[in-house]
Amino acid sequence: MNRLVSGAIGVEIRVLATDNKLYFPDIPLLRGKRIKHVDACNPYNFKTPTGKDVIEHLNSTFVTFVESNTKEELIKSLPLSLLSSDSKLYINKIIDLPLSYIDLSHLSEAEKEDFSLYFVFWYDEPAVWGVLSEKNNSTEIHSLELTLTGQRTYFAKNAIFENRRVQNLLFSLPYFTPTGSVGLRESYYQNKFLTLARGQVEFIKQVPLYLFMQTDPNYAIRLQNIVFDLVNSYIETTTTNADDLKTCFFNVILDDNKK
Amino acid sequence: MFIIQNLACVPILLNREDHRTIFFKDVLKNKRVNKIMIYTGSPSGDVLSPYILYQTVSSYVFMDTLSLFLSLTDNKNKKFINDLNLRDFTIKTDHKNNFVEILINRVLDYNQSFVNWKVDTNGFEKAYFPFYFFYQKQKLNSFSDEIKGSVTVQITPSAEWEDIQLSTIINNILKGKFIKKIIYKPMSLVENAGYLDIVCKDGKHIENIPLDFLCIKSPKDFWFDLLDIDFEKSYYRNRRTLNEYIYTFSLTFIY
Repeated sequence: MNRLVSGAIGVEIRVLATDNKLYFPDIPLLRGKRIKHVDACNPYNFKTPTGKDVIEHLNSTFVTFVESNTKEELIKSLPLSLLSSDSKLYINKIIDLPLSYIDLSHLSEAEKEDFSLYFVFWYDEPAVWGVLSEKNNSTEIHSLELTLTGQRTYFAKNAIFENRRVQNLLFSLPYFTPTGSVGLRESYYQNKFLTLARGQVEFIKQVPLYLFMQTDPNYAIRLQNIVFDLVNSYIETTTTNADDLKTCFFNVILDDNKK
Repeated sequence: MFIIQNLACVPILLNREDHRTIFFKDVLKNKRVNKIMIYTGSPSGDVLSPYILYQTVSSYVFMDTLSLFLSLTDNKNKKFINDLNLRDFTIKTDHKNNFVEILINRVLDYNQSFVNWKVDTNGFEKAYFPFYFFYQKQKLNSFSDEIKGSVTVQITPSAEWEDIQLSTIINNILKGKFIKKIIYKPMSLVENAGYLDIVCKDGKHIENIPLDFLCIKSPKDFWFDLLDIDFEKSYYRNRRTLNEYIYTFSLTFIY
């Protein structure tokens, strides 16, 4: 079962043909934060925010995460294929990212040349999380649309979502949205990324839209009653052809329990 | 895991021009609805309606091209679901495990609850989908997934449209046993198509649950709220279009 999260950040790591060991960059937003799950993204047709393809052979690529307090390699040489959305491991650790690394030594140069790796770290973000009521059995669901107009498109203000506690965002691909707009089609969502912000804190940052499609048997996002400002939130796309600039559709699940 | 206490099958026939329909089902009035799912057939059209002779259940391909949205208002006049895209709330004859779960947990106002759809001019004329309302009439029994015992029976239908009384295939061995799960397994490479209509001695009713709901292998699988089944009043309804594809299958009753 996936755990409650209140933040998620996408991290791209560029790979050169000669790289055998790569350390993670320092991500200020993740310093001292408890990581719940990690996704190593590589669905069919996926592109990173810089437009790169990702390494295909995640079975032969290994990650080591160093725990922040003890500096121990508590997760050692884990195949990246185990960090996928359908087998979410419950990490539950504060990770020292600059000491953590990826082992690429089992890949040929051709398998690494000009590729990237793309990780999403799902974490606890006290700046935006909320308390869940004990019963937590009452929700509202509303639709949210955004027609893309360029590389980055911001959401419009929408009173329905103002100061509401959000438990999930379900991304889906209707041919037509309720307002009659043409929806994004199957082949065009793999290079699009969602950022949600509250004030200046982008607590969900460049998370691939495909991770919000939750039909996989073992996969459901559980957001801990997060609150965000729509007008500071946006979707990015790496390409802006006519078929890219269609309407993205979400159903947003809101907490409707008494406080 | 979701525990079913009662299930109502509400078939919906969608005409392209209508764009909207409401639900009619007396049994659901003033009942707490926990969840709603849709059943879709395969592109080859080999699953029939439980109720209407020769009416096939429309394929999930329609669900891909049809933009079908659910809006629900509760009995306190609150519209709490507004345009939920139903495409991912479908249990398909294949890909049975791939669906999204949401919980409703409300008493609905059926005059203000509806599905609406948008389709372009090249789309379908009519589509037929059974909607399933999971509802509750009383508090759920205390539940444990520990298995006390099980009984497996084999069923071999003899016609594409056939109702088989469960008492003819299950003798008294399950008398007094409270069923918490039923598992369907095909015994050939070909999937069966049919429904179980289960009537219980205490009034619970699992109305025409598709076999495909009984073989989900994921944390989203279905269990039952301890069913005391009246096998004389309960049926397996075989609903497959082609006789040559009728094969034996097994049903395992777990108590």
